[in-house]
Amino acid sequence: MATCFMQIIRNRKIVDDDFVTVPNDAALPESGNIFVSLERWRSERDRLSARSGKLGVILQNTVDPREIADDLATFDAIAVHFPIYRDGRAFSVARILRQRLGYEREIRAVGNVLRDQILFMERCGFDAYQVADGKSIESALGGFEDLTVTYQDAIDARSVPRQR
Amino acid sequence: MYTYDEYDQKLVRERAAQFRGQVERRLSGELTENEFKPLRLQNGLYLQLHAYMLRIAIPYGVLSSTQMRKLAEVSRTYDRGYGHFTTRQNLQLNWPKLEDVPKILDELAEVEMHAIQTSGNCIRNITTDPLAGVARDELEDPRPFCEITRQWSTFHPEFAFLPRKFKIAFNASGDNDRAAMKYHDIGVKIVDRDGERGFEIWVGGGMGRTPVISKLIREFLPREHLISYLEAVLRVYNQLGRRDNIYKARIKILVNETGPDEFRRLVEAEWEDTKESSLRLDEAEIERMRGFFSAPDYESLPSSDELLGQIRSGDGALARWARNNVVVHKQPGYSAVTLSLKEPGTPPGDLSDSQMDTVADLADTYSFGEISVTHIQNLVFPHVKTSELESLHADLVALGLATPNIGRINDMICCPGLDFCNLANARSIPIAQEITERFEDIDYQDDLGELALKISGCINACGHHHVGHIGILGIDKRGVEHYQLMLGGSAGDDASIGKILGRSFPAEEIVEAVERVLKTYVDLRESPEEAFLQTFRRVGEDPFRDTLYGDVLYADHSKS
Amino acid sequence: MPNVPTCYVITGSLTEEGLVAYLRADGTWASSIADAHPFESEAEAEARLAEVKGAESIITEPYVFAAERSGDTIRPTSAREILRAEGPSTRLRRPDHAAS
Repeated sequence: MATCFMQIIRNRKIVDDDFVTVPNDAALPESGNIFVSLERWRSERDRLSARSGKLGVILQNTVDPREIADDLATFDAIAVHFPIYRDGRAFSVARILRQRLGYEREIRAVGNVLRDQILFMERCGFDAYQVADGKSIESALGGFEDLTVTYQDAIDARSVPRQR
Repeated sequence: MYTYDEYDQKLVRERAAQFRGQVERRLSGELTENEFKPLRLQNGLYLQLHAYMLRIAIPYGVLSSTQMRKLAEVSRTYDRGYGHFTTRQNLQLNWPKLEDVPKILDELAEVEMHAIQTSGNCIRNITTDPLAGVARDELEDPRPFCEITRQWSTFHPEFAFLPRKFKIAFNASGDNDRAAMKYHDIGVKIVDRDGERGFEIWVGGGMGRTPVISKLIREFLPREHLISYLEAVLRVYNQLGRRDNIYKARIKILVNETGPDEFRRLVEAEWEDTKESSLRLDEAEIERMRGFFSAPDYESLPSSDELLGQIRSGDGALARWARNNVVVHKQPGYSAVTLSLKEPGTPPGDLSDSQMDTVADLADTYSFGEISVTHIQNLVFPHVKTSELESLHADLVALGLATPNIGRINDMICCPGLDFCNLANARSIPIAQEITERFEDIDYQDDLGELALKISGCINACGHHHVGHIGILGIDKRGVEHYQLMLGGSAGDDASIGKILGRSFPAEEIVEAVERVLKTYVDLRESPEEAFLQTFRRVGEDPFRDTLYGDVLYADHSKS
Repeated sequence: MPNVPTCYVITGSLTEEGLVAYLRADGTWASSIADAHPFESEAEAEARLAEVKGAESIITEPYVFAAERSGDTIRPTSAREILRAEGPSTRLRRPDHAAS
């Protein structure tokens, strides 16, 4: 595979993606940062732990992250998949990872990731975004600025009632 | 009432600007209709049968005269000079153009209004008793908690894309529920236990194609945990609610599938982890919210119960109106007045722009500039001096809003139906109008007494037909409009779901069928004081089925 | 039943205004069903619909419905399409009692 990096948004900046996603049926690359599915992590845990690059795991939005609480320290990044942007389960998954389980490294939104949800994603604990194919990453960046007033605490404790 | 500060103001302005951008991206082709649709819906913009429809939020039904004037102006400038008040205490405009909607939102923002979350699979407008703050039977004004809940739910980042829409209602008046609380996804009932004020939490009620009465999930929730508990319910629903079938996606289905006990266990487990978080409400915030809903500057007057009794005991139009459309008030010397939007010949819930303007003026003159919207699609002036009822009555007569039919058969709930709605199977408004004309005789209506008739143009049940004492459901039989009749529903604390007794009727027969039901009731009631619902519950459905389908005329032999 | 010839009409809502529109023979959109192009067969109408669906910034949610045709007149048969063609059957606004 050629080293042609995709661009992602990380911490509200456009950067080259330093991870590649390895499909379940592809061989593991010797080095480099990779994302693998949760199933692959479960079946190839030892090999994956022994690799040199960073390791990320991709969660479907139906997973209860509490099931992998004990493994979280192993992951350098967790991607949560949006099969379609209007399926809101991944918001809860990210929030549980950040707030309940105290996961502090990258949580990345992948799949049907669009500008108009990106701010909500951030407020639920995502900090990296792989914008949907065919959609402008620059336009998506504008989504963070659309709304600045937040009425409720999410992972941020900056709701209006506490500012008043 | 609640007034915006700089944060609230900024939020609605930013929202209008965001929507302007979304409309531009739609018109430029950057957004497909499939991508745009959920965005416009979260701003209350539907595409209906003839045009776009904009649903404007009226949080818990409270409007100021200034806001009413703005609604008049917007209806006049950007629509066809009228608006439609809904069962969720909102207002719908039936003809806005897409390109005008951002302008309308800017105009609304000027008077602290918006269309946020009036549709879409998110937490919708919070609703409550239209008599909140003035009802004698309430434990306390529920609106501070409604506003706290409104703010928490507005742009909640985790719950913007739920399996399905989500409706929350508050009731503070014990058994006298005037908010149909048990037919909401969550019903919050303000209660006292051992001297402590708190909430009962009811979950999983709803109408639609599967009507369900909600279940009591928590018997007592201390006040400070309101938001953390709501959040726990929503998180369980967001994760476990069905997304494979739109008709099984409401929380009522989840609660039915898990059973209330398992659902309670899931929520409580979730809540255990969050209840001591920053979501805990502090007393200062509750007090701050209460401050917005403090009583207006009432005059210090003696009790007017006797005066109201005198007015009611007359035999003219004023007396009847005072009996049917006026209720007693917490504050001595004052009454609460319902303005009927059920004038014969007009679509239930509709108000013209100039009527809106005049209603605003009258609210300033008689009701401290306050108006509330009822879920039965009427308006209320909550604070009218009893000594000024006569004068207000004359003004409302001139405006066509003094029809003395509140609580009567003609005070119906009616959805827009196939005349306007993209989902409807049959028309509702013409049926409502025919009923209104058939039973226009107000003496007959008064003789029938308390009667709730509700009409929906399809099984989505926007017209609450399941909970009408008499419910009418429009269906499509091979392209022809037909109507199912159901009896015995109730939206109150004694909630019950109406029963279908037999085949449906074509449009030209449905009003006749209603009339036969009414005659049967009059014949069977034990006394004029026994209301329709009581009679139906006492005698059961058989006599009504016979009269509807069996050509049995009870009038011939049941008189005693 | 008399044998009424059937035709097929393409309709949708104009994206900017939201108003009902019918496809003319020349590919533009008319507000009146009288100006609609009556397709002879459903297959022909569906094929044309597929092309129309690309013009989302002009027309939203287009679809085909069957109508009766007698001479030059196209008559929808379902209650829904009759109301779309003719507008609401109820009076649009309340009688205006207000002074101003």
